[in-house]
Amino acid sequence: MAVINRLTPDTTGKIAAGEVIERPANAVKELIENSIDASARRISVEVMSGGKDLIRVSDDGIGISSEQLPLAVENFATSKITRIEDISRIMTLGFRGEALASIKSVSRLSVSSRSIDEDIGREMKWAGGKLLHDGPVARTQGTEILAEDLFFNVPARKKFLSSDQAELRKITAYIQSLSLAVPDIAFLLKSNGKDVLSYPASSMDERVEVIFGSGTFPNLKRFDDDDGRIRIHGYTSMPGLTRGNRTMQFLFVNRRIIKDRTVSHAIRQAYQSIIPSDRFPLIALFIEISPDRIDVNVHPSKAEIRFDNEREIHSRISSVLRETVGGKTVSFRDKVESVYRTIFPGGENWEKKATGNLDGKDYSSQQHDPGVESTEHRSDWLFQKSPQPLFEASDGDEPASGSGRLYWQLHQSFIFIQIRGGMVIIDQHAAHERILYDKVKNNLSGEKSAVQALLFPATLELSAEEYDNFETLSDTLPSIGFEVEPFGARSVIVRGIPAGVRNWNDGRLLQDILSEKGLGKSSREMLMKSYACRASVKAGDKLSVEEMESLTDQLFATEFPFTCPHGRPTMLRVDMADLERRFQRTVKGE
Amino acid sequence: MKIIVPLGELNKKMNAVSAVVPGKTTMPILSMALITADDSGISFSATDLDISVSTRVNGEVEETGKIAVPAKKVAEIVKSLPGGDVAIGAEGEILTIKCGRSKFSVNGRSPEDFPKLPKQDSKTEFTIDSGFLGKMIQKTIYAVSTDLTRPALCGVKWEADRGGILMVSTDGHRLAKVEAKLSLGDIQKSEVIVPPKALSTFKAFAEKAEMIKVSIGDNSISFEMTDVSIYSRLLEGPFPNYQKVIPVKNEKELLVSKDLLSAATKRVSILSDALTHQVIFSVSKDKLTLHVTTQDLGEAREELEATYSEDEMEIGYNAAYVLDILRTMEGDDIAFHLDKPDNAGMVMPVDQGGDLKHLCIVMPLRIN
Ligand SMILES: Nc1ncnc2c1ncn2[C@@H]1O[C@H](COP(=O)(O)OP(=O)(O)O)[C@@H](O)[C@H]1O
Ligand SMILES: [Mg+2]
Repeated sequence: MAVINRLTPDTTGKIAAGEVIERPANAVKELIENSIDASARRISVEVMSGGKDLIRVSDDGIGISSEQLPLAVENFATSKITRIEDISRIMTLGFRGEALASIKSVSRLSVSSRSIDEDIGREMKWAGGKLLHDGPVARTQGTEILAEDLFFNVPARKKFLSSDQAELRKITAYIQSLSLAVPDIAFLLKSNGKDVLSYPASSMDERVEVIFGSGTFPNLKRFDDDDGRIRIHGYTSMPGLTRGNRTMQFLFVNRRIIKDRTVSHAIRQAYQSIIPSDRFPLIALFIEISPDRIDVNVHPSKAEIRFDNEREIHSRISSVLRETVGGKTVSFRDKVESVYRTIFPGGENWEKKATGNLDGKDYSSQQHDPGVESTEHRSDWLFQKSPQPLFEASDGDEPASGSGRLYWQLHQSFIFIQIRGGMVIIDQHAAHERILYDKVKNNLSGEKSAVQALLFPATLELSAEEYDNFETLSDTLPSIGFEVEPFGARSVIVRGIPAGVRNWNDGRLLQDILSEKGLGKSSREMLMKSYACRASVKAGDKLSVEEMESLTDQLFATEFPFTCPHGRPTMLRVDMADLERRFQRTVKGE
Repeated sequence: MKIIVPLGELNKKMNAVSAVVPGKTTMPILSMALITADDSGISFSATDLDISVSTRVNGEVEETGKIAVPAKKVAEIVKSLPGGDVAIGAEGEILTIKCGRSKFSVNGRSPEDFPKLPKQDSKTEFTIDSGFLGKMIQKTIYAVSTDLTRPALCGVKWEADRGGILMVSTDGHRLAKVEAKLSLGDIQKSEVIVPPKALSTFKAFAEKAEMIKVSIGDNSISFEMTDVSIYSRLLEGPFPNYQKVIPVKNEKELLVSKDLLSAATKRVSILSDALTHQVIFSVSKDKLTLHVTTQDLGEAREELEATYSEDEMEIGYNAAYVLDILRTMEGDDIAFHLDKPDNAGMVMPVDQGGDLKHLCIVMPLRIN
C-alpha cells in the first residue's frame, strides 16, 4: 500500500501553489478525487445547507493506515508522488498533498479510516487545525471525511458564498461531470437528508445516458480514435441538438476534468457551419494520453493542463468529431440516404434497408428529461423523436408522385413534400444556402468553377472598404467563378459570374459581398457564407416543380443537408401522428 | 342593362378577359371584368393595370348599361351552363345570368369603380399580319431578363420605321435579334421596350392570321385585332447598346443540322450539372462533339457531322441557351460563327428565308 511522505521543500516549491478550497464544491471535488485515487467502488457524498454546514464523503477504498492518518492531513503530505519527476507519470488525480490540510484549517474536520490491512480503524477530529479527538474506531474498510462549518474561522470567505441552492448546484454539477469519467464507480449524493443523485456502477453508455438524459442520449453519437499513443473518444451530439452554453460539454484528460482552449476550439471548429455560431454541441470527450505528454502542474485546481503537442490534439479532435457528425461516416450518410429515399421513393431495396426509425433506434421508450430538454435547440426534425416508423410495410400510403402533387411551394418560401407518414418542409433559402456553400467550398479547395461570361461586362464603383476587400480577395474570387479586374480608380469590371447564379442583380451581388464587414484574408469562411447567403434563392422567389425537385436533390448531395451554413435547420418533418394529435384525432378513423 | 349572348361566344370571351385578371390582388376591383352594352355593341374588359384587354362580343343589346362583375366566378358559371342563349342583366350592382332553367344572381360592383382604361397615345401606327408578328415575338421573347434591377432588359426592344421592324432582347448572357424588311408606310420611327406579358397575351389571342393594327406611343402599345384589343404599358429604357456586342470578326463558321444538334444536346445534357447545364462543344475538321462531365453524375458524349475547316477548339455553353436558340431558328441547318472559346458565339439559320433576318448571340460558359 502506498506510503504517505512529506514532500521536500525543493519539490513543494515546484508545485503550482495556491488556495484551492474557496467554496464547498472545491472541498467535495478534492475529497471525491481522493476516494477515486483510493480505488473506491462506491462514493457517497452528503451535504447540509449546500455544504456550508456539513460535507461528508465516504468511500470503500483502500483506506489510510492508522499510523499514517496524522500525516495525511499535514501540508504537502501525499502518497502519490515523492519527487517532482513523478508528476510525469501521474495517473492519480491528486498529487499536491494539500487538500486535507487545507480543509482541516478552515473547518471542523474529522477523518475516520480503516485500511485494507488492518482490523480496526482510527478516527481523528480537529477544529480549525487544532486536534480535539484521536482514537480507534470500529468501521468497515474505507475512509470517511467529515467537514463541518466550513470557513467558521474565515468569515471573509464565508461572506462570499452563494445561496445554499447555488452551492448545491455547483456540487451536483461537479459530481455529474466527474462521474462520467468513472462509470464503474457508484455515486450517491444526499442533501439535507434527501437523495439528489444516485448513480449505480455501470457501463460508459449507461452513465452517459443517465447524465445527458434518456431523451438526449439517442441523439449522441459515439466516437473513438485510438492510434495506440493517444485515444480520443466519447459522445457528441448530432447537429440538431445544441445548447446556448457549454454546460453540457465535459472534457477529460486521463479521467481528469479539464478546461482547455485548444480542445474547446477544436470542438467549435468541427461544428463550424453545421450549428449556429452561438450554439454549442453537447459532448463528453475523453483523451487518454501518456502522462509524460501532458503537464498537469499548471494550476492549483489541476483543471488546466498543457499538451506537449497541442496541434496534434486539436486536429485529431476536430477531425474525429467532423467525421462523426459529418458526411464521412457511414452511419450519417446512411441516414441522409434513408431520408432522401423517403422523399424520392423508388430506389431498389430501400425499404428493406431501413427498419423502424431513421437510425434504426427505437425511440418509443424515450422519456423527456425536463432539465435538459428546456434549453435545447432541437428544431432539426431528423433528430426528433419519431413516433411512427418512416418506412411502413403498408403500401396504401405511397407519396403522391409525379409533378405538381409531390411538391408544393408555400408563400414562395417553403417547399412541402409529402413523405410516407407525414411531410417534409424545406426552407428554400436555407437549403439553397447549404448547396451553394458546399459548392463554393469545393471550388475554393480546388474544384473547377463554371463561369458564365457576360455579354455586357458590368462596371462597379466600389467604396474604399469594398475596394480593399476586392484587393484582398482578388485571388479567391476567380475560384468561385467571378472574373473581375480593376478598372481605374476604385472601379472594377466584371466579365464573368458564377454559372447558374440567380441574384446577380446587375452587380449588386458582388458589391454586397464586398461590403461585408470583417471580410478579409483570413475569412474565407465568411466569404463562403456571404456568397451562399446572397446568391441563393430568397423567400418570395417562385420555384417551378423541377426547380424544387432539383433543389431537394442537390441538398441531399451536400455534406450536411440538415442545416444551413449558419447552422439553422433546412428542413422539418411533420408526422401524421403529430397532426392527428393536434386535431385531437387520437383514434384513427374517428 | 340587358343582353342576350350565345353560350359559345359568351364562354370564349369571358375566358379571354378573365385570363388577364390577376390571380391575387390587393385591389379587389382588379378581379372584376367590366361588361359594357351600348349602341356600338357589347364588350368585356379586364385589366391588371399594366395590361388591359377588351373584347367585342356578338350578341343582342336589349337595354344598354354597364356593370363590373367578378371575372373568374362569372367565367366559371358560364362554363357550367348546359347550352343555348344566355340572358344577362344588371340591376344596380347585381348581375343576373339566365340560361334554360338556371338563374344566377351575382354580386357585382358599380362600373364607376372600374379603372378607366387609358387612351392610347399613338405616335406610330401600322398594320401587320398577326402570324408574322407572332413569329418575330417567338424568336425574341425567351431571351428577356428576369433581373428586375435592370428593368429595361426585362422586355423586348422594338424599333419600327418605314423600312420594317427590328426586335431584340437580351438577359446579359445571350441575345436574340430578328429584323423584318417591310414596307410599313410613311410612319414615324419609334424605339420602345415592350414587356413580355403584353407579347404573350397578344400571342395567346392572335390565333388566326389576320391583319392587326399596332399603335405605339411614348408610354404604351396597343394591338387591335378583329375582336380583341390589348393595351399595355411600355418599359422604361435605356436599352443597352446591343449593336456594340454583335461580333464582327467571328470568321470560323460551323454548319450543322439543327434537328440533330438539338436532339444531341438534349441527350447529353441529361448528365449536365443541374445548376450550370454546361455542355462542351468541341469543333474539329467537319466534326462537332458534344460532351458533358459532371462529378457524381457521369459523362456523356456525342459526335455530329458538321462542316468546319478552322482551328480545333472547345467551347462551353449552357445547354438550355443552345436549345432555346435552336427552337426558334428556321430552316434545316444552322451556322455557328465562332471566334475564340472565350468570346461570344453567333448563331444564324443558314437559310434566312423570306424577309426575316435572325441572329442569336450566346456567351460561353467557361471552366475556371
Ligand atoms: N479517501 C481516501 N482514501 C485513502 N487515502 C486517502 C483518502 N484521502 C486522502 N488519502 C491519503 O491522504 C493523502 C493526502 O491527501 P490530499 O491532501 O488530498 O493530497 P493528495 O491527494 O494530493 O495526495 C493522499 O495522498 C492519500 O494517501
Ligand atoms: Mg487529494
